[in-house]
Amino acid sequence: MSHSLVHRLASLRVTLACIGVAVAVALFGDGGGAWPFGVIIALPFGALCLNLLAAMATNVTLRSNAGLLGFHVALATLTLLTAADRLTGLAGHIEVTEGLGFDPSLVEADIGPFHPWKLDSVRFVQGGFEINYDPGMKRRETVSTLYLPGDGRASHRVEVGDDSPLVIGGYRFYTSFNKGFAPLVTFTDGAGRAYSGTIHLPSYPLNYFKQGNDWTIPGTSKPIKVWLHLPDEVYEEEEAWHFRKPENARLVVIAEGARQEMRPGESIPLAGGHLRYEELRSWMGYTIAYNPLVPWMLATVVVAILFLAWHVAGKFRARSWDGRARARPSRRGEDAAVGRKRAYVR
Amino acid sequence: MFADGAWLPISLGLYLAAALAAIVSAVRAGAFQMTILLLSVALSVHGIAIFKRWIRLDHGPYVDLFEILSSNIWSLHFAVLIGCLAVPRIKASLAAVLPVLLVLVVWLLVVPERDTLAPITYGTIWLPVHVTLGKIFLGCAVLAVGLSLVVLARLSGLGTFVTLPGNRALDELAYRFILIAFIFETLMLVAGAIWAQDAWGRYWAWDPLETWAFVTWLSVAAYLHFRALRWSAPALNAVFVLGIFVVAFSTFFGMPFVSTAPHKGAI
Amino acid sequence: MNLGIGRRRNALFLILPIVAVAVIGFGFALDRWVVVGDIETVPEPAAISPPAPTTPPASQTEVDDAHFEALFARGIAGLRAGKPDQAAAAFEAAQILNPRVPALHANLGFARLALGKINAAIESFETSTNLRPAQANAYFGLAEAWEKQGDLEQALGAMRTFVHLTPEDDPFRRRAFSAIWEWEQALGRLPSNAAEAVQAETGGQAGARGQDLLSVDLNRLDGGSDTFARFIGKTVILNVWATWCAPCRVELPSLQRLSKKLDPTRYAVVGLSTDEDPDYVREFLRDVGVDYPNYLDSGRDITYGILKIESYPQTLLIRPDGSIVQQIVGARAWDEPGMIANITGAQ
Repeated sequence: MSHSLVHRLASLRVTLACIGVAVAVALFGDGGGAWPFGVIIALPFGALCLNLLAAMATNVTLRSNAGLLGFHVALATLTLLTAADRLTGLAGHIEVTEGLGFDPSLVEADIGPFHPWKLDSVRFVQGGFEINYDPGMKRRETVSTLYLPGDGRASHRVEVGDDSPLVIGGYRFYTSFNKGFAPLVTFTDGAGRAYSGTIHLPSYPLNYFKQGNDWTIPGTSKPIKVWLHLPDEVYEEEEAWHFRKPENARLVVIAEGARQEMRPGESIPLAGGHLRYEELRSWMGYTIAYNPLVPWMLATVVVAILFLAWHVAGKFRARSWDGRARARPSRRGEDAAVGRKRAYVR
Repeated sequence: MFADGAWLPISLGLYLAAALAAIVSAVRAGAFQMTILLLSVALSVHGIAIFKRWIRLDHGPYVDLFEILSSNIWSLHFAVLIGCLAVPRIKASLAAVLPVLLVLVVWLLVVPERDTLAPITYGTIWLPVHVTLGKIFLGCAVLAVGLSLVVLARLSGLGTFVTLPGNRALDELAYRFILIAFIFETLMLVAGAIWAQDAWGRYWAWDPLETWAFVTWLSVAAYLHFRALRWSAPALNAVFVLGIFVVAFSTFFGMPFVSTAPHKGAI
Repeated sequence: MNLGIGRRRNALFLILPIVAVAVIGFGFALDRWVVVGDIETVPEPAAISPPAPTTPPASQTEVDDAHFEALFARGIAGLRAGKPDQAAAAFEAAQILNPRVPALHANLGFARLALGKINAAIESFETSTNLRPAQANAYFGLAEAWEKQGDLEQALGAMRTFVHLTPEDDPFRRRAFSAIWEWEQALGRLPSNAAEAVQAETGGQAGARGQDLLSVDLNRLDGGSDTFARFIGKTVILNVWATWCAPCRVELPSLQRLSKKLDPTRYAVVGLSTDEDPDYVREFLRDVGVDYPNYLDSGRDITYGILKIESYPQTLLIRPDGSIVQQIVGARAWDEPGMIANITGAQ
């Protein structure tokens, strides 16, 4: 690379242009173009890092000004750490049924290309949960009980919810607004083989008007529809309530044009076997986050701010705003940030 | 002393009176004692109104538009007052900045006052820290706006502001206010990210408010680099400062209300 | 603090290590001692065991799971890298291991879409939404696929569902809205100017639309059909709605009460739902206790095709001769005396 090219790359005009591009990308870069947003936003910031490198090589003012330099170096470090975090991180969500274990294969997530997939070693069992609502359907505290494997057959019981996540293997599981019901059913086919499973119904009370789902009978390709019939209001919109499983809900099965209702414990003949409605369970939605570099990012940004504050304090000390020099003589190199010095005239 | 609902309207009237007094003082090249007095009383009365609401609802003024607007009117006037007490030579810039803040006061009059409930993830120390840092940032920016308006008013012949220092000095002082604002804005972003990481597991998710706050930060960074260019001049710099303020203003008062809560992730 | 750092002509080689050491050291300290949002585990007495996990119906070995994950990840990588053929192959293989992952089918759909296999893509997207009706991106894919097929009606429906399912800050919403606008314009649904919009509301045209109604077949929720003509001779209160539309749900009980208050020989309250699935509509109506006749218009042939209704709820007052006398946009309290007087007076 020629010397003049480095000088040109170090120019403040390049800095301003990159900042302009960064603004444009931040505002309009998520329109679903050919490249993902993460790649597009990385371009101006990558360019800013190169711009800074070039300036560090050529700009005497920057190099001799410790506070300013430290601030910029820390910002560049933050940029790199952020990129690394996004490349190794994970942001996803999962729904876990009461009484069942966490199943990593059901996680839907944005996964960084260099993410060390460790969710397979995460084990917990969903217990019950409680959610309070204030009048007007305003969601308050969520307390979700989880069971973690302990020594031998014992298990640890933990309570998570809202801003207290389950932290396990570097992953953080936050309860989300998403939760609902999941009837537990057993299908016994003509040969006497039994299959048990839960049928997830859409989020409740968000989708209280659609507590149904399509379901394929295990071992067959027969699609049926189930619906959770809630004859009584679970909640009054204008009153405080508590998320709970309804007592008198019945499971409606619609198959081959026929509609049948079951209470827990009842069964119906279906597709050459029979289907038993064991009980109503609930499911809780979690958002999952994995950001191992966050402590270092925070450290970097604190370092950056300290350098910036030091730089600004030095600047203010060196010269008063109306152009009069302070009693103490200005120290060399601390006056102007970058660029020329001025004489201020009243 | 007053009925419960009277504190706020009285304080808004006092802000108006302070702005008028500032203009009169500027025209007469007066000493602004009346402005400072009215401003102090307005802040006290308004402070009582905010405090009473805080106690009644048991959460700070940062949930809906009314609360955010009201508390920013207070904090911006307070910042202007402190700035003018700390640097007495710029008192005359009150005549430029107080009328601008009146826009917020008038806006507040048409915003309905409703009781609000803080979402559950608002129960963290990082929220008041985040909000306070943001208010200091905006306060410093408003002081710079006042000085920049004076520079532009002089250049466009709208006012002479004879008691104030020259344009170059005002430009330098505005620059220094923006430098302080920059530090606090960075701190605000960090505190917000810590809160978001703590409450929802994501330190940054490019929600509209985050995006605009970051654009504001970038625009300040652009201003700081622009000043080091050869063609930087007080008039251009002043326009730049106003631009920053416009961006910051739409971040603070435009973006949060695209949805019902300041951060969408909060609900 | 005066370490002489600030005075150097070249602080570079001092600052770099300082930043590095500070960041690494401070970061380690934060990582070690300040764990954000950590929780304490509460030891549980061994006697209390957690609820026993039941085996999911489709049990797979862990090996299969790992294999599935790998295939899925490969597919995603292929999509991101713009290699749809590679992605489709991976997703198809993963599908054999576990056919019940909605996101898998949606992604397979996108891969097929990129390969130009439109019908196969539609099949994948539909499988995805059948497995999980809230799989928003599958609706987006469906809409794009149907647009490529030239079926803008279907595309519109799917895109509306996508918009309905996605949070307001979803970056794709903007594209969705512009697509909806574009397709509606292509279908001639958006009035090209204000004058046309006003004309659409005039009695003459509404009357003509009413006449068209008389000859249509209505799909019953149980799968059969009725002709609209069965209501000739009565004043019909035709309520166009959908289960996912909140204001529609709000006014349903008052429509039900209205249907009980009006003379059944002279009035008929009729619902026309634009939902997809008649069974779910029927179960929902049973839950909320609505029993006046309801019909399904999934393809929006009547709602858009004849009535040009684009937002819900809307309610038409139709005279016994089939002419539309009022078109009421939005929810109402239908059983209030004023509303009833309006209806009986409209005859």
